[in-house]
Amino acid sequence: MEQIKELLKAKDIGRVKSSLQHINPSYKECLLLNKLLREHMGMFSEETKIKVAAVGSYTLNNLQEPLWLSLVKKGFQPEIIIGKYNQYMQEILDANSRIRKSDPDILLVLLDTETFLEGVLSSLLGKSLQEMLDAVEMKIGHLKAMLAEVKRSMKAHIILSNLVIPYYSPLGMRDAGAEEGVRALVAGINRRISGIAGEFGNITLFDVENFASYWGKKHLTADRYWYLGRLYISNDLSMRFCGEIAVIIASYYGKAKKCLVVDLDNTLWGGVIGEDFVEGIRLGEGDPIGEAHAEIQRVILNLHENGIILAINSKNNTEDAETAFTHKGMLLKKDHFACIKCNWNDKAVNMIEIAKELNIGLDSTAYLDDNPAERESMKHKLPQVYVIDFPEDVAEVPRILKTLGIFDLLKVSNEDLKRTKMYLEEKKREVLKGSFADLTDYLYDLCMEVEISPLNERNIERITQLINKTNQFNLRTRRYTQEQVQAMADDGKHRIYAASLKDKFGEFGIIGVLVVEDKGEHWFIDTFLLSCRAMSRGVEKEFLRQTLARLDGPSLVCGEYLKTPKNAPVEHLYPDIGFKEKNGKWWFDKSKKRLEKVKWLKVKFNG
Amino acid sequence: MDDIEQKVREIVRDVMGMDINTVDHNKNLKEVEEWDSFNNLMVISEIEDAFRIKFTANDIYGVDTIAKIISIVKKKVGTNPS
Repeated sequence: MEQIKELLKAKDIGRVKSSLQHINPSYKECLLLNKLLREHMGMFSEETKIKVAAVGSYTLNNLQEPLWLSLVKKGFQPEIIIGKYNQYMQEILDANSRIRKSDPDILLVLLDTETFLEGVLSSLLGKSLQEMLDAVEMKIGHLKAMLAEVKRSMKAHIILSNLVIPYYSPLGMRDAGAEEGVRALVAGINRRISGIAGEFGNITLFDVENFASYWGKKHLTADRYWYLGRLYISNDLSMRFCGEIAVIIASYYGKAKKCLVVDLDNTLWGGVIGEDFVEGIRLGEGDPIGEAHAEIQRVILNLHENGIILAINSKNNTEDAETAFTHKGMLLKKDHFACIKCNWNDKAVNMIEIAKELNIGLDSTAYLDDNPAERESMKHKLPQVYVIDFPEDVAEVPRILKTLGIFDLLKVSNEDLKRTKMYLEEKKREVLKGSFADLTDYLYDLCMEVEISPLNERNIERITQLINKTNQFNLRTRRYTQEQVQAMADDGKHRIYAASLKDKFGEFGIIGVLVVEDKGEHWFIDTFLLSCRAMSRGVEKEFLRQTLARLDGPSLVCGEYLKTPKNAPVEHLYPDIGFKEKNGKWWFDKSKKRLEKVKWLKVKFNG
Repeated sequence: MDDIEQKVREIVRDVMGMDINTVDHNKNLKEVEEWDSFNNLMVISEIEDAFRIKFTANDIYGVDTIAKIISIVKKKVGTNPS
């Protein structure tokens, strides 16, 4: 707290954000910290604005401040609107309610088992199973009707909680395994709730049951506050609870980490490879420390399988490090790592090079290292990097990694799964680059094909993902939810296109998005972005040229560049391709001029 | 005003963010604009930490004036020297 105060005073926003990652304040500390942060909100003006409304079956007031702080930690400028106790049906169905009028980006629907199943659980003993199921069916019907109203009338993406399986049952021990038992009933409702989330498409599930199991149902609710004010989440757990919600929101907005960079000695294995040699390092069965390190590797391998890029940053001789991969306990193979830096350089320098080679921002990386001095140095030199806590006892590390909640594992798209493979292909491309007379030769040799398609149900998810996470090659950096994208596609004025790319080494998938709006006298380029993986190949020019050529209506096209701290690479894009400046915007008349063709690209235009 | 009274009034002022001088000890708190059931819990929680005492649900339920809070605190501090 004192440290954050100093950093705020020094206006060191980078280190303020980094320090916030490593605090776990109590409820009261959170109130004080928020007060302090609010006085300095000007420093956070570059962060994504977001409006989150919470409605639910219990009193939500003590979630307001923890949720605000959790979202600030994740890089947002949040505004939180809290609904009234057990008014969620009314607040959604009444078009004039405060919640409806606030028109939030995210709507949290938070339920507790007792209130949601009021009248069903209380008189369990006298009821037949069928009567109980009928009553449950009615409650679920109400919930679905409410969610349908949200979808119909609000732009918000919904985060819907499931129900905590009660620790108490009127059936006592007979509840275990009984079909008519409370636990079976609630587990069944939870399956229905996940089904509804899948069916609606605009809902992400918040697994409160799993949260309560991990932290303990005894601690979830503070007894007296439940009876005094129907506070379901205790102040003690409110920070953790909101932290989980913030993870979901950050993932939805594409703010989760994309890359894990690891140290080797005493991190992936116990011991020092350069001194203990392959036979001497501790890894795998038969040794508690070796088993903990094996579990660390299993969790990291699982991250890789979920599309997280892996890299190595270690003070070692490359030859020594390579021998470790021959150890029979190594679950992680050399090929799992998209970039390997084993040398004696400063690790911060290595980190910058890794980010550069992988073409990702440092703020997309997390760093795992057992050495406290290296961690501190990294936090100090590169505050954008998320430095993972590594306690003295390695036995705690697997659990820490499993509950980290910083990586984007919410919606693993096929694109993500291909990502590491693509970076390996990129490495081969780099090798190729060295052997050509000039860049044009190289670009011809890549045999690139661009495919442009209008928005459809197969590409909307990826289009939304790119809209929300592309920072560098993004002319206006407009962020839209999937619901907003769909609404634009349906309004008759907007046209939305996706460009995908492949070359002789492999597929990039969808890498560009173009949204244009018919303004009557001209077409306005609302969104024009390209994934950084596809930059410097002329794709953007061909994407724009081919699409503009096919637009009917006005021949005048207007583009705009809105500066952000990250999109300097495209500052001169419009003048470079022939647009002319007028009143701060960039103009191009299709009837008078043509955009230059990019000869090395083969283009296919669908529809 | 003794130390306990002073401290209780300070906590009410800080949590509620209101001008405590306008609130009489015996004024019914339900008539104070900033007072609601959630703020009530926050005030009690602060007081519990400050005096290292614990209110029961019934104690909290019965709180409707600052005087009532002070009398509960004095009773508990008296039986609970720390």
